[in-house]
Amino acid sequence: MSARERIAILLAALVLAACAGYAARIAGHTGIRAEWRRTKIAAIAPETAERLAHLQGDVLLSYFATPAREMPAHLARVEEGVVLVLEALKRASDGRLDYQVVHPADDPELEGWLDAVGIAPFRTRRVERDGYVEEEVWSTLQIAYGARPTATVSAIAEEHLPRLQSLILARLDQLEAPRAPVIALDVPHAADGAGTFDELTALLRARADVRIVDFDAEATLPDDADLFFWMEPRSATPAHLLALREFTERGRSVVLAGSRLRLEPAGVSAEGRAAWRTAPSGYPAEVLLGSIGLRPLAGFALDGFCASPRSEGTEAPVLEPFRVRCIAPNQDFRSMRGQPNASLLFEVPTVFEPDGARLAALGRRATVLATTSNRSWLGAPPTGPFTADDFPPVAEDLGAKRALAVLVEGDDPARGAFVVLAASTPFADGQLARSGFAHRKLAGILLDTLASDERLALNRTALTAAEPLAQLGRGERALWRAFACGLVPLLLAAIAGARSARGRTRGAARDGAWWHVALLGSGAALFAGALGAFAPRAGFDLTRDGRNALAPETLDIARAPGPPLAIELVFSPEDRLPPELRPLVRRARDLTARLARAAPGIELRSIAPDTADLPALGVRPFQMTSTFDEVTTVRTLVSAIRIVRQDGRGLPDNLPCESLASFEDLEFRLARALRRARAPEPEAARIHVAVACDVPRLSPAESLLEYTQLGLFAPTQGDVYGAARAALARDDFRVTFVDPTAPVLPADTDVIVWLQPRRSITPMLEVAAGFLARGGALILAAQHFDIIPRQFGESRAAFWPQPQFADVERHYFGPLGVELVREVLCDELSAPLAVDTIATGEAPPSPFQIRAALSGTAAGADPTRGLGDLLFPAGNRLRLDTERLAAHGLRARPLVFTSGRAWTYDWRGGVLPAEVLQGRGALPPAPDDARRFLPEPAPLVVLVEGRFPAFDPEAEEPQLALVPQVGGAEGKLLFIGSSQMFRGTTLAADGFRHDQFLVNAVTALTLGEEYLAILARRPVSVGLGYVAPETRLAWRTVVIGAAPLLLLLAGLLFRILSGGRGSRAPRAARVRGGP
Amino acid sequence: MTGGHTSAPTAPGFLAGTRVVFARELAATFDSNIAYVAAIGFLLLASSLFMNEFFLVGRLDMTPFFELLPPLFVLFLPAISMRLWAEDRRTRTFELLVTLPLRPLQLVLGKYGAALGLFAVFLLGTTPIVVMLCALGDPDLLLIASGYLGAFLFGALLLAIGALLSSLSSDQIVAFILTALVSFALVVSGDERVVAVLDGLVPALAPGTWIAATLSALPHYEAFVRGVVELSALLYFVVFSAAILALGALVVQRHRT
Repeated sequence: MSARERIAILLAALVLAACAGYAARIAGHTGIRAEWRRTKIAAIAPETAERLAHLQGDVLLSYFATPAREMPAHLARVEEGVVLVLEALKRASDGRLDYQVVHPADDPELEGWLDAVGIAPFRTRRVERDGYVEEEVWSTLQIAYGARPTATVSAIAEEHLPRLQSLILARLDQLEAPRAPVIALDVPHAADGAGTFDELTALLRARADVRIVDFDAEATLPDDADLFFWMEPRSATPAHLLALREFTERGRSVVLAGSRLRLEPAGVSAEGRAAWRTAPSGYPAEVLLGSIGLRPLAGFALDGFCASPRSEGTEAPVLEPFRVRCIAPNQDFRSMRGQPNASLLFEVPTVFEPDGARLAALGRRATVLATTSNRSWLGAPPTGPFTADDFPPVAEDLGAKRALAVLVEGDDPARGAFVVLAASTPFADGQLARSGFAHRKLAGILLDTLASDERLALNRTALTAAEPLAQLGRGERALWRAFACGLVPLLLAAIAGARSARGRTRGAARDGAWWHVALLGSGAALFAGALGAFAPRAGFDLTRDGRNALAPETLDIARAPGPPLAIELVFSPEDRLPPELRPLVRRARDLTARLARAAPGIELRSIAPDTADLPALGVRPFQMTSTFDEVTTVRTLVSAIRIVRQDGRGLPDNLPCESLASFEDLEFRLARALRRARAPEPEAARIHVAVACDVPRLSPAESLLEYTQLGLFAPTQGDVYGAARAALARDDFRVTFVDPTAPVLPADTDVIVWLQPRRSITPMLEVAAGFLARGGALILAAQHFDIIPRQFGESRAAFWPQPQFADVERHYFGPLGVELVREVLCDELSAPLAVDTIATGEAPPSPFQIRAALSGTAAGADPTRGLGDLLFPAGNRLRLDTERLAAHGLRARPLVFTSGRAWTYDWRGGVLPAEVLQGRGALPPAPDDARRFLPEPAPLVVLVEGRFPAFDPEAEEPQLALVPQVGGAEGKLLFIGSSQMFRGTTLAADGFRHDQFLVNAVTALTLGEEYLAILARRPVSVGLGYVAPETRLAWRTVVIGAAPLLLLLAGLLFRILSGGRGSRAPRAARVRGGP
Repeated sequence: MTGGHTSAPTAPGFLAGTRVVFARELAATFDSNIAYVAAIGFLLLASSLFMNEFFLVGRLDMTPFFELLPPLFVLFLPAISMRLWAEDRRTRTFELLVTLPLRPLQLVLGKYGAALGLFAVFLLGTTPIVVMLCALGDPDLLLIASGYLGAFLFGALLLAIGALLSSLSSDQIVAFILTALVSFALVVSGDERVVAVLDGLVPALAPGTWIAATLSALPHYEAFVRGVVELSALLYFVVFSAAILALGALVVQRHRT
């Protein structure tokens, strides 16, 4: 065939393909289609037609959508799908139902009207020229049914189409005759069989159809139940977890309330106080909460500040810290339909914290609804009877707020939610209707939210996802696995074997060569594998910083003179470890083996936990939850490394390795532990970090609106910086919480970490500045705003900078010459990430989420050494006044910058104008542009060193408040223009590791270059700076196209040089040309 | 020479003979369309998949690219190796080939070298990515080199297996599927999720862990991607490939005799 013929055929194929494509588009307009699936989009079932025939009035369905051509790719076909559904309903309704498709973007006046009636667009993201672009789109259906109030189905996407038809019908049913929810209720009974939750049962019966179930025993729930109240669970077998998962997958929700301990009266103490004892309740907190994405904390919570007062006769009320009173300021029910507005009581609560990684793996997110006060602590269950006097009013080891109630929702709104309470006390008889507490209201809020009309309608729609698999036994699973994987191949192999036996095989080599070769090949594989497995691990590390080998600093520490040491590895056998932990334990073994080989004075021992006396070793088993193929497994493990002095002096140093992250900086931890074991105290003692952090609060404007006018209490999130403190503790730093409103600094503090100062900052500022003036180190993370989405009335969301009142620009730091600039900062180098905000948990637009690309060249004691990119959600830049700094004898060094494409907005109030959300673009700004483009990268993190002045809170002028110190040591201040980066899930989310930044910062400021060099050898990749869209496009073209093009040209050249002979020459002829 | 006595052709030296087969096979490979189709297909796919996320993620890192390679190797390398011997057997030139005055190992190494040459073109074709990374920042070039070395050794092993299976079958499709299956097994047996499932079948023996530690190629490859060039990984790839090539020579020898 000639080249011309080939080209002609190719062209013909292209033309035919185009014709076929257009023919398909034309055919699409005929509406002829068949749906070969259980849940149909456009086909109308007979019962649906019957339902439509009995409509009690006219129905108008209005679909408000952005035109398909302007939609992002993932939403472009939604309108077509919705119209299919609506058209099918219209055809089947015999004129009772009609629909219209409206494009609001075409008519600005219409948009205003829709805002007024509560129909709003939603923000979505599209990829444009290798970058993310955010925009607002419409996709909402309004259902008008006669004179009844309208209903809406918002944010319709392609995945919602299969259930849209049944959802519309369910909403029509609900509008026509609202039905009561069906509630499954499992409550325990007292030993005498009497009910302990009769009041709750009666309350629920007044509003719903209640089905009493014994879920603990039977692990099944009624099919028609909309909501499940499970009080004091006692069973969490795989069958229970599966049933709960199925239940929530079908859109139903669960209220779980329980505590590991039960509080029982134990008479009266010798002092005449009421005595109590605790008994285990059988609540399987680890398994049950772990399967949801929560991590229960050990022991139970006590709260000296918010204990429940109990009157004993004529005496003054007794505060019992084990009866935790959650007061309204510690509640945030804004994600629910109502606010309790009064206290909730939790007796010996099993508090918990959201497990960010597990929640992400499960596709869920958690919202803390209620917390203890920040004067709470965790206690171990007392062994005998106790009274309130056995607990101090306030313990020394105070922590921050601990969650008492959490809402866990799925990313898909069609899935049900979990509401988990740390004790069942609010619903128990005698407590539900107790005066002064809002327990009844809490139950009502749960019903209103989890059994709302929308939710009930959704629950009546068909399940579109594949049904979860029934629980199978191990044998059954093995059988099905063998059947699915092996049956047909086995049959085919048998047929092939039979044919071979009859000598009819043609493809295989003769004389059984296949079998011989297979045997020999397997042998070769085994041999090579064994060589690979057992050969010495010697090799080269080709990484630039040698991060796969031991650091020279670690080797120096290990080889330092001193008593002989032993590293003892106490790990459970590998087959008992969760899959994700195995490679880490292997690496830990490898790392310690290399350390022991390199240092003669270090012996490596392995201790089998099964035969060891773990309490004597100071090692405790722990439970670890892992999810694999949606099955949650809780394993009891031992995972720790001990450093022991072989001369028998000193206490062993235990390094617990109880999470994946705890292995991350293992070399650093080992190096520190070796130095501690060999060096005399106190130089090598654990670094003491005092963490002062506050919780998000309302601004005065919000307080006025929501507290004064609407009568709501100020919402308060839980312990948003708890994960940051845990990250420090994980790397063996000693962490102490400091209350910034009444700070008491531990005497041996090495560094203060102050996360988000809030007005009034003077008490903490006095302590921090004094510490700096004495030569201490301070890490200060602050920002002026949280950018949060707000919805005013029913209108569309707008973005509002919520003031944080950091005040650091007014007091001390500003006058010192380091000003946190109070303006909204945006950057085109940004990253989309769903960071948690105080209001809704929605992601703010990305220009506020500034991504700082680090060059990867930081060295010495630079805290950014060895870090990947950092994200500054709603961060602020720092302005340095070099004259002022110099006047105080301070040296400032900016460490992290924005890109050169940043802009600011001088916010004075109100929501942000739309233009602030837009990119910087190629053109210069218009004269009336509210944005101010920064001419050069702006500092986001600054390190200031020198002799700091102290702070006088009584001074009248800011400058006078700086009290110079004579002599003294040099202090260090690391000022970070964002605190949100250290909050909850933002701390280590989606490629950003701010926990590493925090650990680096503490290490750099306290331990110096030696340890930072060890710490900074993490496998992180350096981020890209800002790359213009046209450059991105050019690089994409080069990378994808250059090599194939060159190859084509080379082939062409080869053909021309060989005169086209080669391709047509028979292979035999070419081979004959051989030697 | 007298009396019409015909002397036997002189066998060339080992390297010379291997070189001749290599040169011939390489020329034949690049003379056929399959080399260009496979190479262009591989390059388009690998580069496009990498670039799809590159600017969105914004990391100056080639690790995601190296993580992409094993599944692509499973798809493309059997396409190179399937024709090494099966084509000769199909066109009946195999018998002619084995009668040449060359040792079986020379034939095997020559053909294998040609396949490696094409594979090297695959990898070389991805160097624009390195150029781009260098232009946009300061990537760890040694780490990238280590990744390429791992990829080359991994591919070389899969090609050796493919060559052996091709020598056992006259049907290229059979050779392709068998090679793809074995390659797939070498890749997935190192995946932690598969290891977990296999371990769960017989927890006391932990067969998944044993297979991953002993047989699987993935953990060794991942060490290279992390920038570690270990003796154990080198031994695994080199010895395994050499043993498979020796087996291939044995098969050719059997055909000859």
